[in-house]
Amino acid sequence: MEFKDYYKVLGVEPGADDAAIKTAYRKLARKYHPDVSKEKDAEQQFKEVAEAYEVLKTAEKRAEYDELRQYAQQGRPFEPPPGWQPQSQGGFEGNFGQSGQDFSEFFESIFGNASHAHRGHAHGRSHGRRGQDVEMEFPLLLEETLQEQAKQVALQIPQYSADGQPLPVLNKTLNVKIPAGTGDGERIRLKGQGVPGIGGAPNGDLYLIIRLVPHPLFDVEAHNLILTVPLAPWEAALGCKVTVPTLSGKINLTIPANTQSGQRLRIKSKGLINKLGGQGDLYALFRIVIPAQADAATRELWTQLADKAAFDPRSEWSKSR
Amino acid sequence: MSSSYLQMNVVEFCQCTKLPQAWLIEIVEEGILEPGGADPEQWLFDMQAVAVARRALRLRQDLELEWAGIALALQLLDQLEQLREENRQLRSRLSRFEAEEQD
Repeated sequence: MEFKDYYKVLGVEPGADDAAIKTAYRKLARKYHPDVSKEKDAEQQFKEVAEAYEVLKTAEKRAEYDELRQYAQQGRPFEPPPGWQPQSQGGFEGNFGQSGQDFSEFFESIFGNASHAHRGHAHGRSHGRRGQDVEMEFPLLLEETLQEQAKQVALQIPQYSADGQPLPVLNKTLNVKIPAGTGDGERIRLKGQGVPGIGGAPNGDLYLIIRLVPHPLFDVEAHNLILTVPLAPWEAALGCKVTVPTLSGKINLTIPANTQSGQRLRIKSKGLINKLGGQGDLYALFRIVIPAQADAATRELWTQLADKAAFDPRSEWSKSR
Repeated sequence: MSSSYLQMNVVEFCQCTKLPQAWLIEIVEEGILEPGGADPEQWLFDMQAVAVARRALRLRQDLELEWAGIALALQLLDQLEQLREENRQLRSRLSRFEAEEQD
């Protein structure tokens, strides 16, 4: 086990006063808190910072740590001195909701096991401990949001024995109904399907967090969908009929003559549905594409067009000068 | 966005989020959660609210913030998330329009 230099973690001098430690912690917590941060490894970084602060913020724990720090030698594995007993117990109560709850092996070797202390406390009050909730992302295709879906969810749930020891994970397969119109980021709660409770306490819940899978063809804009439709220059100029995909089968679309690149055509009620029974629209967004290569005959036709069409695509530029 | 098809009352909500009831009232007063209903007996919370409450609780514990600061942080984080999502969508649309760069 490696000795953790909590002062280094917080970026303060070993002689730093409480105010400096608090400032350093708050600054790092804002940077790495998993609810706030998009930094790489934010969660792990925050755990380190929270653990360092847990020790250095209380005079008692800090004094114990400082004492051990004298024994620790750079680059050598760390072992607590024989007969070491943590003095500052009972510092773990009221820590509900904290993200950095599971402390390192190093921390536990010095100060004991926070979660065990907590469990022991709960037993003393002669009731068990409710199982933890589990969150899991669940991918959903855009097509699957149009109707209620019966899905199977396979997951592994950790379990603990009455004295808090980990048991082999529980493999579960659940049948879940996902309502029509479910959107990205929505949560579905499966009551009692989280971590089993201890000592007769209720199980935790399972939350499925819906993630809409990006579609290869359609872009999402609120409840509307956008389909980019490539057109040949002559199709855009003359108008044409094109078969286009929607989430629920193909439809024929009439492209009017003189359609511009970037122009949109609304196809009513072919978008995503909402829970109130309404449905968004599908927009066809046109993009004019030119053949990558042209043979001599085609080039000749383009040349004729260039000669005959009196068209200045950059007329806007001369106006603005 | 709401998931009104599954709701919890105050007791169940506090159990589920480990939020003391007095704090829940403060959170609602601050506008962090909007459960609807005139008094706490009638409040109903959806699944989104569970996530918001837990996040608020973590921010309070870990960043040592007041509820007013948490309300502001959550609002700004929400806006940031919306902008990121919008940015992602616009980039995706742009990529369909932009051709490969040519030498």
